[in-house]
Amino acid sequence: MAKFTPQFVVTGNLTDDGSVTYLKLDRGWTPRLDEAAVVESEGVGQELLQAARAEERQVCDPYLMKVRALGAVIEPLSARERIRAEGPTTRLRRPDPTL
Amino acid sequence: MELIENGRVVEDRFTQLQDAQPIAERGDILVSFERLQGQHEALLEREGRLGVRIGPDVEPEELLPYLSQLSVIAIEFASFADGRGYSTARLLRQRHGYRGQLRAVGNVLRDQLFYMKRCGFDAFELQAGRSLDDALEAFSEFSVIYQGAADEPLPLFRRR
Amino acid sequence: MYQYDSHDQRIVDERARQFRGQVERRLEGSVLENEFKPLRLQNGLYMQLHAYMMRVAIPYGLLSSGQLRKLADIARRYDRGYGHFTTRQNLQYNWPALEDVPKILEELASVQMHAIQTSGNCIRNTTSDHFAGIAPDEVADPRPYAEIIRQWSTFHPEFAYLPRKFKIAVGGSEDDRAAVYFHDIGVFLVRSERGELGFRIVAGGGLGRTPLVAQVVRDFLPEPELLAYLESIMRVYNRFGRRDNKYKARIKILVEALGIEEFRRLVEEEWHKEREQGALLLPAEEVARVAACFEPPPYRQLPPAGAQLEAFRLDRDRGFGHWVKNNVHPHKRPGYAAVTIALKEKGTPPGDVSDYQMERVADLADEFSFGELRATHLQNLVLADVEVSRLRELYEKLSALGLDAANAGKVTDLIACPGLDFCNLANARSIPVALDIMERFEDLDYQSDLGELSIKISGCINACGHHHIGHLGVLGIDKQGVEHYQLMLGGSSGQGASPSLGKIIGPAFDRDAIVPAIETVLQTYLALRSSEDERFIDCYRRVSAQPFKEALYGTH
Repeated sequence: MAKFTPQFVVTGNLTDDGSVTYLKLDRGWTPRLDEAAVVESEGVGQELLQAARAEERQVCDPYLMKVRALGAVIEPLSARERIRAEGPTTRLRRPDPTL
Repeated sequence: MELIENGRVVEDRFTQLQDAQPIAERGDILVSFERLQGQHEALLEREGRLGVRIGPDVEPEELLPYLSQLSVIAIEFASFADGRGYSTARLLRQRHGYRGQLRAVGNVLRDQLFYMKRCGFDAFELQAGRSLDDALEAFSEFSVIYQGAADEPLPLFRRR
Repeated sequence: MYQYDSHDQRIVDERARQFRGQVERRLEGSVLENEFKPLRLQNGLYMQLHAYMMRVAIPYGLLSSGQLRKLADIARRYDRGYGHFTTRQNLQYNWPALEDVPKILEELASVQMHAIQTSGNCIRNTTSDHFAGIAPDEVADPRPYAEIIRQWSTFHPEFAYLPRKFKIAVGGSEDDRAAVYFHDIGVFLVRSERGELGFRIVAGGGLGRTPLVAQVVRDFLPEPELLAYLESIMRVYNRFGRRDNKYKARIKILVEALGIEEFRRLVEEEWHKEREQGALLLPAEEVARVAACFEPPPYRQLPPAGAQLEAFRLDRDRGFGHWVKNNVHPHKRPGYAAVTIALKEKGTPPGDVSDYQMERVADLADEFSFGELRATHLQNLVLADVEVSRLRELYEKLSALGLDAANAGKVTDLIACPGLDFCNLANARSIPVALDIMERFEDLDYQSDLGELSIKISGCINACGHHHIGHLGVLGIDKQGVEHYQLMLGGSSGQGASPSLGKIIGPAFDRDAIVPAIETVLQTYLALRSSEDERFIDCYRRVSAQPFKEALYGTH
């Protein structure tokens, strides 16, 4: 497999409901990873992160996550981030038997 | 600077002396524990009240020789998460009978004031930039307490 | 159960109000997240992968039907229609919005419940035996003491900022059904030679990175000294526990570093000084006041039901027969039994139950068990006072709800933490492994043959799934970004066997191999056991790890 350099996305959890959120190019926030701003260098990522950290009312504890971006497809590089992006892998609730 | 003392916002009358600064002949001063131990004589031979500032790892027993000379013991919370000061304060108040001012200093947050007061603190220096008037409300947040402590020695089950 | 008086009620009301203020200040920006975090933790509100998670305290696991209905209502109105029962007898909601949490606390307060100190570096929920008050082997009912400890520890002003979290458990019998030896402080009810009731106090147990069985600090502590002694242990810990390293900050590290002799010396020195002041002496009147809340319910006079139970076990309906064999437990009173409602249905994460199911179970508690039930640290529920003659009726109603899993104490009655599907701390997912095991071993006759088994699954080393004390323990790890699972054998929580820590059997297995590996272990057990009656844990202790290692990895 060819080596590649990871790219970076700023992510965190929304203060209001704890849901997963990603920083967009226009500095807004989105629940969709495919709308996230991808930066090539960790340095630039850190700058974005510093600005994001100031937005405490909006987002809790943002951090940099590593991704691999191929065109429009942005892939997380860890199981943890995959699950954050896609939700729990188990069904949340059984149907009620009498319904 | 301002601090909360006995439920009111007041001006601090004590001057915090750094170790390198000379000991003023008059006035109320707060010195480090090292200085209290090292320059004990000099500190007693002056007018004005004496206070000491101790870190979280100073044990109450170490202060016993000085208790009657100290108007203020300022217990430092290096991090709000370091809870040793609560035990230190309680022991000074309840076990060693200290009657002077117990002051909480350092990383002191509004939402700790209620517990601190219960443990025997009667003065509080809050983190810079925080509203002291708003903090005063913290003292009356709970009207019922289960345990005995410095403010009320008997647990609820002895008071029911 | 304990009824709040006006003092107790005011405490939870004021706490809900205090937190409302704290949330408002967070949402308007006058308090920062790093200051808000310890406050929300002290109200049991975590930030997890996808959402906030709120942990509601269920003191020593005891619930009234009214409280369970309220929990169902909250799940429906403020969450996604279900709750999760945990390995410390608490309930978790996985999807609350921050601004709803003050309202949730108010709703909880209206039924004498709260989320106080279910997180943070403070004294957590005090847990106990789910058969408290009804177990035939009980020395005395541990619940009054658990309640007294709850009140003493709630908002204790001196111990709100400990080096780390602190967990206390109380056991009422020699057979340890509450994993007491794996708590920071364990309290066992015992009788002295003269018949006086008192406590054996143990300390320094725990799991996680440094698993340890607790050591005895005092063999016999007279009843009135309980709180003074506990306070002394807490003060020694608060003053001398390590604060430099989060992973070395529990009291077990202090006990190990000092040695039990020195630890005991420090505690008892403090205890003697505490006794001089006398404020913490526990009067008999207070014990009686609290114990009065745990008086036996109005049992009927019934004949012994041994023959009836035997007949049920052989019933034509094999599902019912297995259920009576596994899920029905001995009771002090003739004609009564305790019933486990195993929250271990195939296809559902262990411990999860829907709002609808919670409401129906509340009705069953009213109908069959004097309106009360217990949450267990095995992520199940217990109806403690069921008439044996009504067991079939109860079973049929549970079947209609999908809550008739007849597997209590068997291989599919496993426990699992939420794992990487939910938890910020996890390295691997635990729920899918649990679901696979529950499917693979679902045949009740096979489960019967395998006998008493506890499988415990954790998604990371923090061990919320108690993997060190499972007969089989599974620990999820991250091996270069891929989920792997370490298998350990021979642990015991202390129930039915002496407490012990499991040992890792060999290299970790990947996701596809872990369940077949468990199958191999169990097949090996079946081949090696000296008789049908030799349980897995006894067989393992007799033959040791070697044959299991060979079966899994071959001989080299």
